[in-house]
Amino acid sequence: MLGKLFVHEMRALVKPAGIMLGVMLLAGVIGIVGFTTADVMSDGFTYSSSPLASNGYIMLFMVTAFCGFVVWAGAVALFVFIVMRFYRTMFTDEGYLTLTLPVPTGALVAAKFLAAYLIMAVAALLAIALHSGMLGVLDSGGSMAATTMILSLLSGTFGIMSNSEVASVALGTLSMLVGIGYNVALAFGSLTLGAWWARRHKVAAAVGVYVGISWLLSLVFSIVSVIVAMGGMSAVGALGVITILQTLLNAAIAVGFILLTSYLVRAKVDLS
Amino acid sequence: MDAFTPEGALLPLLECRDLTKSFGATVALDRFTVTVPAGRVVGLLGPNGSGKTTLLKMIAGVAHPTAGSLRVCGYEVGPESKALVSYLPERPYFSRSMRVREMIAYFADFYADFDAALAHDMLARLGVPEDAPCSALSKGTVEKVQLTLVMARHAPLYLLDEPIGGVDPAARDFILQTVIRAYRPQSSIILSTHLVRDVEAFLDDFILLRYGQMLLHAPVAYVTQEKGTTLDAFFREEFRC
Repeated sequence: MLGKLFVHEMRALVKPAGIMLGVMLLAGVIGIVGFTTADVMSDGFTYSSSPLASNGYIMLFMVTAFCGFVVWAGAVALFVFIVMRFYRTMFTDEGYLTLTLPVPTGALVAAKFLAAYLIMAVAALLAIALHSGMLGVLDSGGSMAATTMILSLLSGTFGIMSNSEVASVALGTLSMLVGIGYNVALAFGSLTLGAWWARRHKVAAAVGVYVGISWLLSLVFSIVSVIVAMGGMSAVGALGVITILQTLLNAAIAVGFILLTSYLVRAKVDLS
Repeated sequence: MDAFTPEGALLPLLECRDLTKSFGATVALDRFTVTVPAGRVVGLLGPNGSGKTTLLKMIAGVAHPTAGSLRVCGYEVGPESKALVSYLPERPYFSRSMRVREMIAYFADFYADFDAALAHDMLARLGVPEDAPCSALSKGTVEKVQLTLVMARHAPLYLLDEPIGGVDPAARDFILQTVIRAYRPQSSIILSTHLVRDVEAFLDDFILLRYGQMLLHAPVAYVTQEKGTTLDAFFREEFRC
């Protein structure tokens, strides 16, 4: 039953996700071509020798930088679309179809989570690849370093700086993939809490819950990070431990929120 | 009058015991007890806000009782009971981007008792193009498509929430004829409405609800023979403002 639900969910998501991934890809390719062109242009002149070419160079650079922004904005827009689709199919009129299906609630929530997770993982990896490409052009030779930097940013820490670059990238990727699961599960859980708890303005309540829980968890983790950093380890070692701890914590929170969502839908949430 | 069970009844399709639903201080349904056997068409009658929709939602599993118990063919509300209940809510539940043929495929995929050939046939008679997205259909047509899909299931229990509310008289006839044609003796239909005159001829039994409380559960014959009036007249008298 989980497989059937997953297939239906993917079928519903694949078209909008395909469009958004296409936009991201197009923006990324334009960005890479633009940065490459700008890089080549910058070698042939100075501002005093050719002000027109220099202004053109600046404009080209800004446009391609905007393409880099579009890549990330596309991933965020896709996340918002998937999360709002979850809300629409579960807690609005469409919920009358979804929640009367003869399937266990756990399978229903798990299928939606897995489909969302898969698509967001693809979007994030695509965004990383495109940004690495763009930064690689700028860095003229260090695309691996650029990737590592992006992965570090994605993982929410700057702690992926161990001795082995491959290990850093692997840890960064794992941390990022778990982070995606955490964000999807937290968003699903927040919307479900909002649908259960709020009589009106359920989405606004869900956004409040999402922001509040995120903030609280960040605060807790900051305290944990400080405690770890004060433990006498080297800076690199402490940052590595913090990254691993955050990955484990995010994984536990993701599982917790999926279970909570499933329970609330099965036993508490009433459709209005 | 308390709940009654018609003579010769088999295992009840629906059993509610002291079913209660509260929203804060408001009691939408108060200690509702009823048994519905197979082979009955039951009218759930009452004015707006009497708890009809709340009751059907709880049976369908989209709302949860505050207290009491509810069983469908012996199952508590869950995947097993949902497989036995064919529910038509009072609002359209298909995504506007979904096409009619996708709706049929969806039902065929999830409901083992769904008769796709019957659905195709009914939609063809309605003249609904199966390639049309929901957004291209009128509100009335969407309601008819939804009813068609619900009635194309061979389910033991049908729950129809205000199926004729807000539609024109011609559509009402179509809806009621569709319901009657799909009816089978081993099934029961619970139909909520306040348009009593339109459904009176099709009902075996009726349940009167007011402010979440059951006033009466009886066969239609109780009114026609013992009270010497029609169910519609009886309803108007009971709920006179």
